[in-house]
Amino acid sequence: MRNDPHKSAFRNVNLWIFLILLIFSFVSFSLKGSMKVYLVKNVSALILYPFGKVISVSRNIFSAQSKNLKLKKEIVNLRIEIQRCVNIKRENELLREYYGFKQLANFELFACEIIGKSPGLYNKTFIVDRGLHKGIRRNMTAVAANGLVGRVLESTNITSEVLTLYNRDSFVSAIDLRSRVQGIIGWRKGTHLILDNVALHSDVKEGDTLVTSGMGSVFPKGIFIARIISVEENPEKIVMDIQAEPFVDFSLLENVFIIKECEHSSVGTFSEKESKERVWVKMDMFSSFPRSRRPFPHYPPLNLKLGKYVHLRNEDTLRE
Amino acid sequence: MRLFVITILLFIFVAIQISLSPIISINDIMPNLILVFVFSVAFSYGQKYGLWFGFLSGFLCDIFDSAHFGLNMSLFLIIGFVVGSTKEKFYRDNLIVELSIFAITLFLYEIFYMLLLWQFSPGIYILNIFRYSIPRIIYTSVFAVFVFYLFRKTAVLAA
Repeated sequence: MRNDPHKSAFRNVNLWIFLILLIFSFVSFSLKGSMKVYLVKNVSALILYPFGKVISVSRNIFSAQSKNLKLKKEIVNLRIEIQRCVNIKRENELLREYYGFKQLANFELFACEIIGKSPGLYNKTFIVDRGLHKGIRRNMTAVAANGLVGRVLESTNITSEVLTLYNRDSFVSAIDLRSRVQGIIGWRKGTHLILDNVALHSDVKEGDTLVTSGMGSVFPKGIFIARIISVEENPEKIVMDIQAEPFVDFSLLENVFIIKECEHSSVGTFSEKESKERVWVKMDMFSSFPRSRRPFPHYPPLNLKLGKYVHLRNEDTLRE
Repeated sequence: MRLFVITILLFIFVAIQISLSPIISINDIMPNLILVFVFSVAFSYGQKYGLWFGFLSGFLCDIFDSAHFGLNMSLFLIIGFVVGSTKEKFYRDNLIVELSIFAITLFLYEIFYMLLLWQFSPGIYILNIFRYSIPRIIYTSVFAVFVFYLFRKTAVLAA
């Protein structure tokens, strides 16, 4: 049978296009981070943004009432918690000042809605509805109510891509809250995270909480990451095999908060007027210090019940 | 007209895959709708359409997964080209045949996806195949049936 010459030529053209595109794809894959596609990324984000937004808004409408009730309860609890935290934070600032430690940075939280998840099968990234216009930049930290989510990988003008903990490119310096043992937390497979670089016989136990260590200057210190669920010591290795379960349930996540470092925190900070008018002191805080070593010796005598918070006017404090 | 409709469908499928995946996923198993689209286009219209729409679909996916830019592009391109080449070799009106080829394609996609992403580590392959790939193939096939019907029954899309 004779082949149609036009058809075979057409097939050849397709084959050549295929080979060229395939080489282009493989080269792009090998270049990875160095290949910048900001323009195309911006255009695509612009096209797909309305779809994602409409879907997420409609999703929210259906669950609004039940969420509203739940959130109202949470607000009450959190208000009480914030009141406690404000005092603890103030105490912490005073102590840091006393010991000459560097003051911890303040943070502002940007609430972002997840409008998309990466189509990739295993390495998870989220697309959120805030971008460069709202001040979201590369490497900013993303958190949820329960703990760390990841960091911002790329930002376009209106959207940002968040690299989650469930990604092989995501590594976080972590510290055991109880024993202060440090390691690097990451993900390789399955549903659990791996705490790596922990020397054999280190004091790490099941149930311990891992928080960010603040090293590397990407993630702020003290954000909850995961709980250790299994610890194995293999004498043939120099490090321990530790598995951890993240506090955040990534499959149910709908919103994240992007942390932005700023001069004044939006939460738990005294306004200028408040600072002038009053000082909150937890009275048992300095009880273990001799009076001469107290950060502010002019504080009143410590004869109040432990754990009680006392509201003092500045003038009273100074007079004392 | 057909080209225009397929291009619009491409954007809709990518948008649904990216935005709706949290809703339609079951136990973190989400259907691969873009692959369904690429397969349908390639199987219905042949090599040329499969080639270009495979490439474009992969490109759009990779834009939203910049850590592995090029991975989906190359895989969808190969799938579009190869499936498009088989257009005249199978009896297209039989849904079971189409669905079977689709399931094999998706399975191979998963294998090569892991291969390119993690290189050689057999333990992980076997674990992931049983835990994620097979449920995903079953789940995606359910969606595929609807999409295949869409391509057959819509006058503009009918090959």
